[in-house]
Amino acid sequence: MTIDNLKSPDLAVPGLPPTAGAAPGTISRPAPGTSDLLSLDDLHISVHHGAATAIRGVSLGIRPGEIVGLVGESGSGKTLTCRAALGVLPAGVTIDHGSMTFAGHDLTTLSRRGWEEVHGSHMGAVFQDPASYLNPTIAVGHQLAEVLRVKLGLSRRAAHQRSVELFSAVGLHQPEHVFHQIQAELSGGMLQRVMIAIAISCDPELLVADEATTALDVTIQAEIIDLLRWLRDERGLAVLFVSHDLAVVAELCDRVVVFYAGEVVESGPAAEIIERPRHPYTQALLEVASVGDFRRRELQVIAGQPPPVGADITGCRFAERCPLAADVCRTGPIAPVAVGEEHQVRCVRAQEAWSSGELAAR
Amino acid sequence: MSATASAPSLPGTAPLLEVESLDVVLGRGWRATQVLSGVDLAIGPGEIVGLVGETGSGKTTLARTVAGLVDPAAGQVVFEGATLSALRRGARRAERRRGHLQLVFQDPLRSLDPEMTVHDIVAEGVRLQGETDRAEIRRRVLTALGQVGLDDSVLPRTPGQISGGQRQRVSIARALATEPRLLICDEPVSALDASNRNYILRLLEQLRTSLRLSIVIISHDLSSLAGIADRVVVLYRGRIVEDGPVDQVFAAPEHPYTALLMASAPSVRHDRELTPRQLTRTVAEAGALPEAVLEGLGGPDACVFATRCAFAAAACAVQPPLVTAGDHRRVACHRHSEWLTLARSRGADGRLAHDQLSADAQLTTEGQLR
Repeated sequence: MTIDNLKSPDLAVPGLPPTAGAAPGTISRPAPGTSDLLSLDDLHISVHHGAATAIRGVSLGIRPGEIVGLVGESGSGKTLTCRAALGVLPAGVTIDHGSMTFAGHDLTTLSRRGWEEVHGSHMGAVFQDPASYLNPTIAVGHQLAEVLRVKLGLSRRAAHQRSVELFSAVGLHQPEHVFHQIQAELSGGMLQRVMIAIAISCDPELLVADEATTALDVTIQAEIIDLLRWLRDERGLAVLFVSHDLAVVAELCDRVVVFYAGEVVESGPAAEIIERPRHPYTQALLEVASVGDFRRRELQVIAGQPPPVGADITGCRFAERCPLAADVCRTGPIAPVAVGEEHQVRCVRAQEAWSSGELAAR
Repeated sequence: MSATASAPSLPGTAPLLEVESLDVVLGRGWRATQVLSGVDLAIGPGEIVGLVGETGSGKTTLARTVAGLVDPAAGQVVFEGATLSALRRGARRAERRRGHLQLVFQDPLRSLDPEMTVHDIVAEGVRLQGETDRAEIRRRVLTALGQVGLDDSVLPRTPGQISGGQRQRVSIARALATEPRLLICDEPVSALDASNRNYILRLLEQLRTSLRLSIVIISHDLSSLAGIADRVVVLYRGRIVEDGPVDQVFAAPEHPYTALLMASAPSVRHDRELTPRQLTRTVAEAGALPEAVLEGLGGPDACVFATRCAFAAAACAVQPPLVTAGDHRRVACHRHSEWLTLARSRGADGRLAHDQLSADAQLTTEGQLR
């Protein structure tokens, strides 16, 4: 039981005392800013007991303290990728190929006990609908305190005190009062803050936020985005942020990974992808993502529908809907190519796509 | 109140729908909650009005009251010249069967019967109107589906067998089949991805022109209305706080809450003039207010936005009336002419610039003295 390397001082919430006692730690904390904290490589995932391949060769990495956004339409595979990384794939869904490592440890061979240790202590998660993850009859504070007692072995009193401090850290006013309230007495934004408090309670290095702000009012969404940014700045928390809304991702993330029909079609620094999208699909997404623009405009539509999950397509999976598609796009598998520092795109016509985008912008 | 502005509508046309001083109370006894207070609204023929507000602001209750599904505690709803709220039960049912006013809901998977075919879903309203001829019913079903860009291949399918975007089109076709004059769409696009959202909004715009429909679009997302609405009405905790032509409202919001909605909307381009923190009061700032002022702002008669507003002063302990502010614009804010200057002087991180601190404190005190 090595506890000294688990709680580096720079990862503690300001104003929070260091945790007394910690989870058994066999996974050591990586130093911030070095190599990938979570790394997925050539991941293939099948659904319906192997009947269809939903994820085809997804690779992505997230460094300590980095906020990475996964965007794409529903059914593109972003949630499945997250759930694989969290070790919570539903029945009938299996990882067929590929590797997943967290701080250098192989996640694909992790035992159930191993995952128990990872959950909470190293990875936290928040989802779209906080109400369905909380017990409606138990005060929210007790649900957080229970986590602290089980995972960190805190006493009843210490768990209570730390819960109140965590509630305060995530911006809940009158945390002592909130501690004794049940789910029905709290608003959606407050519940999402409670969920974030629970997710970060054991000081994980990574927070997975799957559509965590989608169901919230826009003013509350802005506050939660602020909170996530603050947690990253103050605690060095890495965030894997999943959203179908490119504007939210652009607002929050350092890097963006664009999913289409089970593949990563483009990934790179957020500012660069927004400014210079290379994949025709990313360009189309940016054109329809009018959110945040209050000028009167033509409402754009991406023609066609994405292929069904598991569809067997030779060549580019976006070719059916792509304005630039040529014969070369349909002859064989398309490999991702580097078009800039850390900027990759899975398109053989990336150069043409870029020029036509330039032309349209003029 | 004589100062209160009456609801504006397009010049020279009688409004299709008029909502006058509407109060709605849901629940009884100690559970009773006033959901809408003094709502005045007029919708002209062929007009698209966006109704915006957050969860619990009363948007859906307003739609349900207009459709006659909820009885108002006070005020009235006048549709095509007839006072709906005064109709007795039978007459109201007859009015509903006429199908001139139709609702479209957010989640078609939940609002459409999963075991009915698309044909039966769209035909239901036509049958309720009293049409019995099967050929005629089928003709009208196909017409309605054609209007939303669907063909007869979807007729035998159930809602579970078609895509999300198609389902929302089926709900719109269901509403169109009774040849309505007014369509009230409750969050019609919030369950859809960006491309499908734009498709549905474009479709509504086309229907307005081709069928001369009036459309109310309820949304929690202000920016999705930018491309389609003529007018936007902002609700906050059951009251209209701002109403005006969409271009004008977005160019220069009169109410701090409208400005907050716009500042909070995530942006691809990071081009916001104001940040949410410049518009909302921090806990520390609330603590700095005189206790008497703070108590007034939290009171039952206070401006609905006073608990969050960065510019709330003593005067805001009384709910401001909805007054005319320029052509076709209405706003309910005591400080609508002052807040923008104050907001700009607040630092983007919510703290006041040092030299501004005393100036704003003075203003607050002045307001208190008045």
